[in-house]
Amino acid sequence: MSLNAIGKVALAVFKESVRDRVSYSLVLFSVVLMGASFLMSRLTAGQDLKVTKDLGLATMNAIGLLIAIFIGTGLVSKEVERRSIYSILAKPLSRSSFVVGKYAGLVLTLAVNLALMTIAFYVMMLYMTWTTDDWITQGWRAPALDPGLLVPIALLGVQLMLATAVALFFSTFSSPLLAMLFTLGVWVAGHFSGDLRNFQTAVDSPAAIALARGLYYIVPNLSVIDVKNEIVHGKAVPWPSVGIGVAALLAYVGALVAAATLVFNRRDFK
Amino acid sequence: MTVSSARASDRGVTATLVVLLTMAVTLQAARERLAPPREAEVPALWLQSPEAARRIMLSFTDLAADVYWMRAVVHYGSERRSQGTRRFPLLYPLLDMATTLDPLFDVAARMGAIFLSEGYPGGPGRPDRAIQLLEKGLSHDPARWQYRHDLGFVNYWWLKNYAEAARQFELGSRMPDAPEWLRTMAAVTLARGGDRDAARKLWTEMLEAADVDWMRRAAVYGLQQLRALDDLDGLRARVGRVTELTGALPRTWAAVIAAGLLTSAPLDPSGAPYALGADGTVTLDPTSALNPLPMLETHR
Repeated sequence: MSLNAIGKVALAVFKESVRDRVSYSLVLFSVVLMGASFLMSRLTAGQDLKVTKDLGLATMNAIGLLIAIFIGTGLVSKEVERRSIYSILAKPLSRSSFVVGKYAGLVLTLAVNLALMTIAFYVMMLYMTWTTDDWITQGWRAPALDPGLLVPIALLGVQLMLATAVALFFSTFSSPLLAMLFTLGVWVAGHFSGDLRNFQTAVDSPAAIALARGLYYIVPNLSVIDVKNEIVHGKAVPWPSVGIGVAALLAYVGALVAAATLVFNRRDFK
Repeated sequence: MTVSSARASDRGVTATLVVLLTMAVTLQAARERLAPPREAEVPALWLQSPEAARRIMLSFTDLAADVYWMRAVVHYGSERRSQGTRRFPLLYPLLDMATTLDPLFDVAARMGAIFLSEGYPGGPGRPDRAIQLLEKGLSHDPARWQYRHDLGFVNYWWLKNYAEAARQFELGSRMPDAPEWLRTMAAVTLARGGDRDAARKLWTEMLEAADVDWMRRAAVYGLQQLRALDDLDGLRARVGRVTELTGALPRTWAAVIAAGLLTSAPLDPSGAPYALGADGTVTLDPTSALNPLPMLETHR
C-alpha cells in the first residue's frame, strides 16, 4: 500500500465529487435552510439564537450524512457496475490503496463541504450579532460567534467519518441501495444504543438482556459524542467521556476500512 | 414526422398541459368553496409520548424541541387572539414535549410556566401544570436558581401559598450564583405574603433579571396590574368623597371631575377606561387587557 497511490485515488474521488452536482445542491440547500431560520425568529419568543444554532447544526448533520451515504455507498459498487474497476485494477495500484484512497477522498470531500457550511453558519451568526439589540445579546448564555460551536462540528466530522467507513464497507460487497439501508441502520442503531443498555426495563429474558448488553458494546455509540445541546446552552462538555467516545469511533473507522479492504481483496472480478 | 410538425405537436401538448393544469386547480378551488373542509376542533398532536419522540428524533432532538416550542408559542398566541372559547388544549403537551426533547431548554420551561399559570381568559389558569414543568426543569438542571425563583413566583402569585413561595425563594437563594435579593424575597414573602409591595418587588426583580422579551412583557404586565389595583383604591376613595360632598353616588366620571377630584376620565395602565357602575363600584373595564386582576391586599 503506497501513500502516493492513496493520495492519487483520494484526489480523483474528490475531483469527481466536486463535479457531481448532488453535493453542490445539498450544500446550497443547507445554506438556504440555515438562512430560513431568520424567517422563524418571530415565532420563537426570543429564542432565535438557540433556534438558529440548532437548525444550523442539525442541517450540517443531515446534509453531511446524506453526502456520506449517497456518495459513500457508490464508492466501490459504482466502479464495479460501470466495469471501470477492470481498468483500475490493471494499473499498478494495490486493492488496499484503492479502497483506502476512496475512503480518504470522500472524507476530504466531506471535510470541505462541512467547512463551507461552517463558514455560512458563522456568517449568519455574525449577521445575527449585528442585528440584535445589546440588552438581548447580554442575556445570551453563549455568544452567537461562540468558537465552541466548532466542537460539535468537529465531532460531527468524526461521526461522518464513521458513516463513510460503514458505507464504504457495505459498498464493497452489496448493491448501493442495500448499502444505503445498512448504513442508515447502523446510524440509527448508533443513536439508539443507550436503550440497548437498559433493555432489562423492557424484557425479563436474561438471554435477551445479555444479547442487548453485548450489542450495546458492539454497536458504535454515536450519541456520546453529540454535544450540540451542551454547547448551544453554554454548558460544560463532558470531555473524558467524549474523548473516549471519539477514540472508540476512530477505532471503528480503522476496523471498518480494514474490513472493507479485506473483502475487496478477496473479491473475484472475472 | 418533420421537424416543424414535431414542434407543432410539442406546442399542442404543452398547451394541453397548461389548460388541464389550470382546469385542475380551478376545479379544486371550486370544490373548496362548495364544501369547505371542517377545521379540527383540537389541532393534532401526532406524537403523544415525549419519550417516544426523543428516541425517534435521533440526533435531531434539539431542533425538534425548537419546533415544539414554536408550536407552543403560536398555539398560545392564537388561542389568546381567538374570539371563541379559549381552551389552550395543546399548551401543556407541546411544552412537555419541548422540555423532554431538550431538557436544558430552560426558557421553554420558565416561559411555559408563565403561559400555563396565566388565569383565564389570558391563559389556561393551570399553575399546577406550571409547577410540573418547572420541577421537571429543576430535575435536569438542579443548580439553576431561576427554577426555584419561578416556583416561588407561581406559588406566590397564582396559588397564594406564601409559605411554599418563601421556601422556594430560600432554597433558590442557597444555590450557586443566586442573587442577594432572593434571600430578602424569602423573608419578605414570609412576613408580608399577599402584600402588594412585596408583589411589586417580585415583579420588579423579574423585570430587571429578564433576558428575553416575553419575560419582560410578563413583568411589565404584572406591574401594570399592581398599578391598576392602586388606582382602583384611589378612585374608590374619590367616589366615596364625592358621595360625602354631594350626598349622592356619582354615576359618571363627569360628576367626580365636576367635584374637582379628577381632571379627566381615568384610564388604566393598558389604556382602557376605568368603569364606574351605577352603584358607585369602580372596576376595570371588561375590555381591559389587565383582566382578571389578582387578589392582593394593600397591607398585611
